[in-house]
Amino acid sequence: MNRRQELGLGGLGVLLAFGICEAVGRAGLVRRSYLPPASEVLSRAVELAGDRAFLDGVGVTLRAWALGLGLACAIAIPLGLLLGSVPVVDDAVRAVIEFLRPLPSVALIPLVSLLLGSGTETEVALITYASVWPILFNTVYGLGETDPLAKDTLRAFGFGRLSVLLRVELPGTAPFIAAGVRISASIALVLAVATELLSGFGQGLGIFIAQAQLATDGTRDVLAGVVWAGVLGLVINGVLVWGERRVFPWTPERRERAGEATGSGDGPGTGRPAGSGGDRAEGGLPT
Amino acid sequence: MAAGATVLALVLAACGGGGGSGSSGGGSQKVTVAALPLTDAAALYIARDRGLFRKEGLDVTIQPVQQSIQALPALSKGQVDVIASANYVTFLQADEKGTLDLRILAEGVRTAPHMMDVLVPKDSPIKSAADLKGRTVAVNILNNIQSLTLNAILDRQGAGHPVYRQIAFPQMGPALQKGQVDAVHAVEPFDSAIQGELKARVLIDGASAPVQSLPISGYVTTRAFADKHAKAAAAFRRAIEAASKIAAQDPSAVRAELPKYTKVTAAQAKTIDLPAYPVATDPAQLRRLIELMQKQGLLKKAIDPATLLVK
Amino acid sequence: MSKAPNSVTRPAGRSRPLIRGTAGRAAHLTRSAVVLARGALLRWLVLVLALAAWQLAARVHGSVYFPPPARIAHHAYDLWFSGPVGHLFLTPAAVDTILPSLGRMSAGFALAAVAGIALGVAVGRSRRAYVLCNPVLQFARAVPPPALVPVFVVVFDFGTPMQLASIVFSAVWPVLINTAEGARDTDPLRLDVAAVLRLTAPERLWFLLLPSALPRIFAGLRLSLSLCLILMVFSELLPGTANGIGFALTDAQSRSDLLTVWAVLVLLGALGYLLNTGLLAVEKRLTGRGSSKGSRNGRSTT
Repeated sequence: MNRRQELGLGGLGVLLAFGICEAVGRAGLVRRSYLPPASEVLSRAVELAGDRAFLDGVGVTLRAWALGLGLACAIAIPLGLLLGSVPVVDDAVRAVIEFLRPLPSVALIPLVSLLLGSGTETEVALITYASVWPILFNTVYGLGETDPLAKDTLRAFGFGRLSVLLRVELPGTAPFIAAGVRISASIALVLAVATELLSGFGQGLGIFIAQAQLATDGTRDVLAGVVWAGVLGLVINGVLVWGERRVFPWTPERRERAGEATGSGDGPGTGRPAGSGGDRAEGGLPT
Repeated sequence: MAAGATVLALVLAACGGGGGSGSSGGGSQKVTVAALPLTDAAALYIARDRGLFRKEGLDVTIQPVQQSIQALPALSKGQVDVIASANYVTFLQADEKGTLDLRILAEGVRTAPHMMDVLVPKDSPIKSAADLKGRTVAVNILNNIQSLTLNAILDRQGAGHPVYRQIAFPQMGPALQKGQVDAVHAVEPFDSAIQGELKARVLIDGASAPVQSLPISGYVTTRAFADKHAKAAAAFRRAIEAASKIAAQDPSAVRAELPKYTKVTAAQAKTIDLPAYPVATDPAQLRRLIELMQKQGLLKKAIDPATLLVK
Repeated sequence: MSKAPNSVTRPAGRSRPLIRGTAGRAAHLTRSAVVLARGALLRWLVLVLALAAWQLAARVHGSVYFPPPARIAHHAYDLWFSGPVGHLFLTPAAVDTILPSLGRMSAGFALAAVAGIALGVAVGRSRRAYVLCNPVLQFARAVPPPALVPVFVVVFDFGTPMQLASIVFSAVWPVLINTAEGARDTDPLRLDVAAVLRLTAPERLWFLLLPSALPRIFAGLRLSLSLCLILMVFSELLPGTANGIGFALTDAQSRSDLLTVWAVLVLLGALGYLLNTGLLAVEKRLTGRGSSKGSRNGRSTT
């Protein structure tokens, strides 16, 4: 199936889902104002595209998202390289990491906002906190998957530890890091909107949804905001997958075996048994 | 690692420092106020729109927030200077626990007849206050002003306490309709909206004795701001009191203001019941509230409200 | 460390040296045991040091936002663990708070797992179905859970049904997507063998598809489990909640009771750690392989 057929089929799926929601909405199971049908929601979402204030808010959310993701990369990639290269440090820090990782970031909102104030700092801090883990684990896992023959070859030629790291391990790990960044990107977006929703202060897509939730008949706005969030996530995911394919066209299967599959890469799916890379990195903690 | 940490520090430093108290050099003093989209903050908007702040030499920026607890971190960090329509119960508790050094600039609203009501479905078997014992009543925040006042009313009438469930105001309508709770304690405009949509019956007036004219929310700031910008704080208080006077004497001013900053429509604004806007801050009334909080265990030690007021 | 001559064909990450003979094996085992023990000791040492540093810093600084860990532990003990022996040391407050939360989370996880695996196999089997559903799945995954509160309020009953629904709705996607991926990647050679042996569809599912997809399914389950912990907190923000860990958190926050907030955080971290460890143990049992942790020992060391 070529790309165009895939896109067409995917579009068909979206239309089907829309149709189902529309039918349910118009079936009159609940009051119209409490649960508007999908067409109304969609038209409101399109209407919002022309609303200056709304677009400003989306921009604020995306800025926080980008900042959080960037910081997460800046922290996780060097840390991952360190942990992957020096097993002693990895063992030492593992216990602390295993206790910190399961902490849900939403639970941290009260404390962090008391420390950093309401607004962008708290949001960025929480996004960074949650996004660090997939990238970190994918980096460590990717280091483990590097071909030992290549490393031995370079060492045989007299290259130092750092050179081996930069010339062999980093390029070999790069596809895994990219997959980790892709996973973290969706987590970061969901978290950006969710944090705004829960802490409720400032500007952003989440604030728009939160304010709509408090209106007497705001469900249409809420769902329109949700549509925007979903579409943004879809677009970001699509762009990152496309970028990955362009930059790293050679290892689709091995890349995806690491961490969570997002179902977006579609390797040829030829006879590679799914379990061959049995040790796989944990996909990390979403949100 | 070091690079990452430095980047982090730099970025956070760059991000921080938004809003906050401004300089007082010459001209007007900047004040940032966080306000809820409720009837409580009407005096603030009247003051802004009628130039009362400008007259006192203040340049006021208003930032919307959904629950005053959400603006608490911003207040304690100095990102906002004042919170309008701040829930006294929440902030007195924060003061007691030490997360905030509270100062009250001016009173906001006090209870007025039917500004909040306990509503039951049209055909509910609950006919009087005594029937509420053991039933479920929805309130916006648990262990806060609504359960406080309702318990006081029921105690006065010798009735038993209900069981409280936390449901946000907009969801109280659906909850009542589906029979998830036996009664809801709703504030305007949801009060009128639910009565209109579901033909719900008013069981108890939320402002009955002994909580009539009880302070509910007000304008709060931190001790740091009050000390550092004493003049601005006093000016703010004067402007708010002047605006409250307008609101008290001319309710149509409030009704005209509501659709501008809340999601209340003009039609709804004409018919809802407004709270009372006190003209002067009265520590005696605040003391009533504090005693009630102590009696029901929401506050461990008595606070003398006079110490919290800004001169 | 010498390598066997055909190390090139061995899958990456598994270059453990081959030692033959019982003596060699015993030596290997002792060496592994020592390595493991040293690793564990180091880990716990670092943890203890971190805690000590925290305690010291909190005592010196004395900020109300950072109570020292000793106080937090004491408070948590008072709140939840000072009950009678018969109740596993749980106080009535703990029974009211922790158990319902855990129950809801487990039920939500179980439902999400079953639904995710079932739907994932269905979607993964056919390439058409996969491409059809993919955009919708990606969209659903990007929806932030707290935004859907008004929808859940209308459709479900308040309290447990609503909370379960919100947990399941968000936790199902990792399992579903990973299962679909795993089902897709089944070796076509094995599928041909199954056709030759004339296996029926259920037999094919049980003996071929599920086992080969199992590692991917477990990756998805692990993700879903950590997601369930977060969603448990989220779901207790929903209207009509009367108890639970997330509820205790927001209640403590609105009362500015920071000590309880910290206690709940520590509890959540501990629960997450325990649950994750448990799931890993189950995975090891069922698939016979380790997770990424196991692979570390196998990597060629410098």
